[in-house]
Amino acid sequence: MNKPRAALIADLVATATPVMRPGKTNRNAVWWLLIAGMIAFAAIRITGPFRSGVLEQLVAAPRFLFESLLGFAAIMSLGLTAFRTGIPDATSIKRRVAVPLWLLGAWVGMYVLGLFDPALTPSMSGKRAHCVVEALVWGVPGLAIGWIALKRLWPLHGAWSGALLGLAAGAMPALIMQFACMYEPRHILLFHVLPGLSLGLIGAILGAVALRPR
Amino acid sequence: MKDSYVADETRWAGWMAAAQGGDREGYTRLLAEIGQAIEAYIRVRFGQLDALEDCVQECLIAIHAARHTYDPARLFRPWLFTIVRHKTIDLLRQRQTWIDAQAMAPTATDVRDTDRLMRVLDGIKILERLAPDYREMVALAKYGGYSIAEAAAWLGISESAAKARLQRALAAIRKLLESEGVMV
Repeated sequence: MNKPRAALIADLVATATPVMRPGKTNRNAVWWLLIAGMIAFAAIRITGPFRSGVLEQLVAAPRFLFESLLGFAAIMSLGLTAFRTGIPDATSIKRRVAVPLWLLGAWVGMYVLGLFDPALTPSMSGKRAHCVVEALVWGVPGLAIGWIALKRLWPLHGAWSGALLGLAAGAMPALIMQFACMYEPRHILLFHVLPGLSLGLIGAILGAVALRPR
Repeated sequence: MKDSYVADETRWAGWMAAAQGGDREGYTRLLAEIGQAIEAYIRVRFGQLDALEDCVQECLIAIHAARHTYDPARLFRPWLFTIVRHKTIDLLRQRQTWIDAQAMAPTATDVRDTDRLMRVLDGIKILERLAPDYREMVALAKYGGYSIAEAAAWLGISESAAKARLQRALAAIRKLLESEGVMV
């Protein structure tokens, strides 16, 4: 680049059309969480019934309610942080991702704990034929919508932004599947959580390749 | 220092907010002023690079492209220098390695004293192995000659946080030197 700085500034100013601000990051993230969550919920509801008596289980088993709320909190935190990483900020990325990853770890940890001491009595009630595919596929629309929104921003850590977005999008159907499919911790970990969270890996790879600032 | 920091922050934030609405006059002033600030920032953190002007211009282009992400409700400086830091590191990586880029600096500034050159290069080798936050802090406070207050202002953190960061960075350097059998 050999152009004098003044000439570059003149060029940049000449192309400086008014820009639309991305708006409040948290508000955008909440909108995305709502839309992606509704898509996942509707898709799972359309493709099969929810497990009978699930509402009663939420009331009767506080640990089941707690692990569900923990999953909800992890998804919220992952989604909010994914969008926040789209705005340049002096806070280090490790500090930014700590809380959502801890929440996600705690949520998954509840099911690992459930292998030894389940929150509900394990049962085949409500078993869905293709829950493993659904847990993966119904997170993809959310990831795609979030991706478009994130591309409008300026994510400096593309892999992290993509991973957080993918984890949030994938965790949604994985969590909802606990109300729709059978409750058995091993089944939950292998057939709901693992495929759902694999979207995080897909998001990280896509983010590393295609979410770099221009 | 503090007054000029606040004045710069207010002025730049105002100009950028206006530029987002299409104000070209303010945007011209903003780019000219932050161009100088970016140049000083890069020189302090990364040394006298051979491609300093290229770095500054690439940063200005990046800021132009990212200007829609600035939120006038938040501080301008952290937003600006986060972009600058990432852009500069990206450019340095593209130009082979950080060491290569730094090693050219003494030649550019015509350092004739070989001992001093070796000390500078040794310092950079140690710095390179530090975490980015620590590296910046040491570069500012020990190489750039900035006070703790000034370094804290540059980094957008409190003075106490800057002091703590510097102490941790120096402890990390001590550990690195000890691990290499260097007397400290």
